[in-house]
Amino acid sequence: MIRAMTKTKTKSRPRKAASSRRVERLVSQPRAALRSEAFARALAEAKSHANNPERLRALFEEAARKAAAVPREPFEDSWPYLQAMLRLIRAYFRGEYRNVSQEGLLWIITAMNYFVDPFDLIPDEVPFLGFVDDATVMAFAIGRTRQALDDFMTWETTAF
Amino acid sequence: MKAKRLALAKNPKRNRAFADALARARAYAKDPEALRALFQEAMRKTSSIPKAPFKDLWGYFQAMLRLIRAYYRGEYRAISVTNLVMIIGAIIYVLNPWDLIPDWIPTLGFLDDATILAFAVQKTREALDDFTSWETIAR
Repeated sequence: MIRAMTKTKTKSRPRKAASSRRVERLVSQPRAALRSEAFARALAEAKSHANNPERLRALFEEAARKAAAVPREPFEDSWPYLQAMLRLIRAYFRGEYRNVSQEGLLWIITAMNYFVDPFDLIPDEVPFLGFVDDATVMAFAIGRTRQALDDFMTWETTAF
Repeated sequence: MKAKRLALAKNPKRNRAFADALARARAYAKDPEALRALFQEAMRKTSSIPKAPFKDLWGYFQAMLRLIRAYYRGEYRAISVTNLVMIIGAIIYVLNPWDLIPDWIPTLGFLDDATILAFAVQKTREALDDFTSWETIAR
């Protein structure tokens, strides 16, 4: 690692090249997003969010705005589940829907925290790759909460 | 016979049952009452349809149902007729138990439904994504 850094220095490559190599390395290791500091931060914050409707509302509003603006391609078939997570959080803080386990809710809030964080493992401003790590975290959270999300969507079509 | 049907199940364009569903869908698209009836039929059946064959597309299927509800209620109309017909056609097909491979045949019964749904999602993905974005922004 240190050797790589000094090498960069002696050849005086621009900083950008080094950071784009870092991003390339991260993309080739998709699970890295789940071991990142940003993920740990998102998880830790989720615990304080879960029982606070006001914070959930703020999170929902920020994530909904962001979801309307980001590219959908990296998320592929996760996209409707990402949107379902958003609607579930909204229904939860509004008190309309509470039929979700604390654990499920925690994973969903964690994924949303990570999604709204612009300085996560691969910063969101990096073109094309900035949301690859977000998509990994999303797919992981969906894997953990698929049943809860499916139940929620079934509720949505039957209850209103 | 069964092998032939399985081969057909992989090709939505040659699926006669889907062509019929699309033909019916054109009439449904203009008739809010018919759409309401279709939605309510879907609501009754949705819990008895196995989710496994649809995998990640289940989320899109539910989005289709919410879209036609918002459409017949007049809450959401920002969708082209072509896309709407494709979505209604897919819903009719999934709900119809007597399609290419009848739904009561174990494990295979919903294979053709999953293929049709995948085809319809591929054609209308953008419209469905726009609708789900609208759901989080507008309500």
